[in-house]
Amino acid sequence: MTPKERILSALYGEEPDTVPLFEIEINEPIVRKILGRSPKDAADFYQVYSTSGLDGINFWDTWIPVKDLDERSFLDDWGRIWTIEPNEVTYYVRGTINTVEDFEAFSPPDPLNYDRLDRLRKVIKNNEKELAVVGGIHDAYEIPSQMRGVSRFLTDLYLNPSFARRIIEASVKYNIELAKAMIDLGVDAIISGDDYAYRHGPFMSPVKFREFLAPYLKRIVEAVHQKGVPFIKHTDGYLWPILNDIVNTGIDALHPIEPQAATSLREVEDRYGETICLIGNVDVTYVLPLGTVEETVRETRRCIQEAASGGGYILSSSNSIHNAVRIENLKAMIEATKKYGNYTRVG
Amino acid sequence: MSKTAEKLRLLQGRVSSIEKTGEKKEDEEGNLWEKCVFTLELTGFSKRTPDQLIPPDLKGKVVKLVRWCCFDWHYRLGVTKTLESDETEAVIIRKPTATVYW
Repeated sequence: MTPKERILSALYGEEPDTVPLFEIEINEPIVRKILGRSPKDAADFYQVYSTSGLDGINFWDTWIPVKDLDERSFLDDWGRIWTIEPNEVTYYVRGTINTVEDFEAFSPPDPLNYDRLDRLRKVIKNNEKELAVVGGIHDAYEIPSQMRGVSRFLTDLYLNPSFARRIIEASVKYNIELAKAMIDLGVDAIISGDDYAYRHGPFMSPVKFREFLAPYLKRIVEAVHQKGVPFIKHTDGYLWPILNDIVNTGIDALHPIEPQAATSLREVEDRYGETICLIGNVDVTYVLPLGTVEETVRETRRCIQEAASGGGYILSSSNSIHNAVRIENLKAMIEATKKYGNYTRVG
Repeated sequence: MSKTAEKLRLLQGRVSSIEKTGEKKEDEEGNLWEKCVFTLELTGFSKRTPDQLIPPDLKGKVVKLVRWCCFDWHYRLGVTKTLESDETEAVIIRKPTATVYW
């Protein structure tokens, strides 16, 4: 089985030859450590993913700076201000859509902008190791809430719902077109990266989630399915109050099933394992950055034990390979999956 | 998506029991594998081919599936098991094989 077939098999709820491995992101400092130099382009990231033993690679749609504000901060094409911290991670600062008039004067970016799709185009063209190439988009929450500012957007849901819907519509329309363009390029799956919850609960009430987010997520899932490609939903946090609603949108997989948010992989597997593929959840807060190799192997085996039976499971960290993850633990996670993640054999 | 991935239709069934045969072999890493016979109740085709519907007379049909098991998570009951492509076609044309029969 090729890495791509392994991932697709799991996304379709089947048993591959062995548990597939996927990470939504490996932060650049880790890529640099593995490469031994700074990555120059998408090919360098591809080299790290493929030689590490991962079965897939994901490229997020990213902000495109339209105006530098100072040495470390910039305004992007969705009207959001970002800052590049000393750890080289770019963090959201605030939105600039302060009023309805600001939004009316705003023009959403072009999803077909060549720069947005350039990394995917290059990787798909040179996919010698046959990794599953995943296109990362957003859906109904992240862009609108960041354009307005989280508090203001959540207040809009109650005080100015028609305005909230207009912003959501702009984000959803853009992301559907972007997903279609990614699929036309040849991606094997689409992942949406909007978080919906804190560790103790969703950002909004389940009632508001059903009213403002679920229908739009469903619209995106259906557009992706119409193009014949599976849809992965990423969201951190404690999801139980809205998990039925998320699954009912028709998603094919859920990532990363955060253990720190009181979300047991086994419990999600028991409730939804027949319906969706699960992707997760090797602890990325203690085990991967601070634990030993032995703890990492034990944690990896726990995940396999809890979710791999019967297929429809992809192993990954419980978020991404961030700057503090120990390289030896990343390697141990991958090696343990290959050693202990073989499925039953025919002959 | 590769043509293979697009076109394969694979039957799936729920595991109701697993019989260990006692026949064992060791792999290259020293793991011990045991030949087992899974009893499955067929449920349908995998999501790979969403338009394919299982023939009504096959839904719920009980089949035996031969697999080699090693790790304890291989023995979980109630989970979905996926037939290989040739096993799927064998069931559809009602022709038992060495690894799938009824």
